[in-house]
Amino acid sequence: MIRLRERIARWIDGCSDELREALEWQFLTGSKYFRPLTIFSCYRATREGPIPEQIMQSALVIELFHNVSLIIDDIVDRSPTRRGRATMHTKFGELSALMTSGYIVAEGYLQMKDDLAGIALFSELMKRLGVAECMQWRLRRQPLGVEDWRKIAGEDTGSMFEVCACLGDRSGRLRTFGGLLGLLYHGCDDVGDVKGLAALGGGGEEDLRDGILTLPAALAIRDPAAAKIFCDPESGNLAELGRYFVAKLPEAEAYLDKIADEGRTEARSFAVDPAPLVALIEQTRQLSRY
Amino acid sequence: MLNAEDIFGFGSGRSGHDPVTGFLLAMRDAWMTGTGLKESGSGQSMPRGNPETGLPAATLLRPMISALGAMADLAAANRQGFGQPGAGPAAHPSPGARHDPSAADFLLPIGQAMMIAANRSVSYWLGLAQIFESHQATLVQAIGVKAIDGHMTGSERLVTADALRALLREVGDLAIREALLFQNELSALDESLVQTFEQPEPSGSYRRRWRAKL
Repeated sequence: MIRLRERIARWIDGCSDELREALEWQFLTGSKYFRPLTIFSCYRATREGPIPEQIMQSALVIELFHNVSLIIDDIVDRSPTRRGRATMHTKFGELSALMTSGYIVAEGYLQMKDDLAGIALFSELMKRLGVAECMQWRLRRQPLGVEDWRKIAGEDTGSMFEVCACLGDRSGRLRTFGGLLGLLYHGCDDVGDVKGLAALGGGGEEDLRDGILTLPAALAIRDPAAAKIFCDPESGNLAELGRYFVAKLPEAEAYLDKIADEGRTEARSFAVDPAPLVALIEQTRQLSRY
Repeated sequence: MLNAEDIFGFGSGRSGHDPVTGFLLAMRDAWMTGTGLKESGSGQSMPRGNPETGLPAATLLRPMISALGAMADLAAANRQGFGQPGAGPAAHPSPGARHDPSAADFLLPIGQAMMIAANRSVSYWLGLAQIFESHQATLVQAIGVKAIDGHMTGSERLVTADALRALLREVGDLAIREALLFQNELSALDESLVQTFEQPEPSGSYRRRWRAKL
């Protein structure tokens, strides 16, 4: 991770002076580097030896593309802060944030110029992320089920981690594992947001307001009363809907445990050394347990 | 319980086999045992062969079991041919087989491939049984009185539909996982075959014997 951090810093040094401050603001603070970690773990699960240049380059570019998705999400959600500080569009304005996103994508592809298979995977990722965001927005405020949540989350966060897994192992054998890890990550995030809503009075308000199908929402709206508020926010107050979500947290946690089990089975079935992948599952599962 | 020995008429009194013959016979027996278990132990929840024809699983697996028996016979005949030239029908194998001591090298991988297929089949059926077991309540609800009478409320219908979709997804996921595992195991076998039959490097530098089209 130190090597990756240095690499990102070197990359920013070589970028345009005009955008450097915004890039430093976005990249040099607070990232968990969970996606690069997934790439490294998938590599370690299938091969021995030091991390090769191609894998390190993939890790850099996945971090670039992930940050593009964050910048766009923040603009769409009108989020003023992320990781406890101002979002890029709040700090530098929407125009700068959008143009910087385009610059980062172009740089990402340039970085991958010697890795055709990697380019194909990043192209798949960008296409799927775009489709997932549109699908999620189109399906908001509808009485859908857990299977629908699974489909949306699988295309959103799931596609990101699927591609991470493919970049790491380069055989496609860990693709399903990556998808399950992404699904778990997405679900833990959903549950964590509702917990934040309950305990800290913050987090997840945007999803609640917009009627986005989260895992607790998919479980809660099985109750017709909750479904009525979810589909038509004017008919009841959002705090009441939040209480329906909180009531479904144990069921949501149990469902996440099931996904974690599926991930472990997948790791043990297809990895030469499943230990790094099982560790990823455990680490992700903790995200909803604060 | 179905006795496959009776059905297929194979004797079990062979002893003192060479490793290849023994291996193939053991595999054949494993298949027959598995067939019998499936017939007797799975009850009504497991499909018993082709539902349209009503054939038992044992009948459907007959070609596989027959092939294993035939391979075992071939392996035994080969051994006999080497040991006792001129004695019995096995003393007249094809010229290639008579002078090729690596015949067993071919039979073993075929046997291993069949064993892999058998394991994967069993694993798939077990997985399927587990999935159906875990969704039993949903299935009962889906075909229950309320559903038939059309007395389900809107939310009940949504929940049942969601659960049925989960069942379908899990069955599909299982099929894909087992197919990928099957493919991986066959690839590993393929790799070991390549290494077993790898020709020694020709002496001297490699020279192309053809011209590239311009």
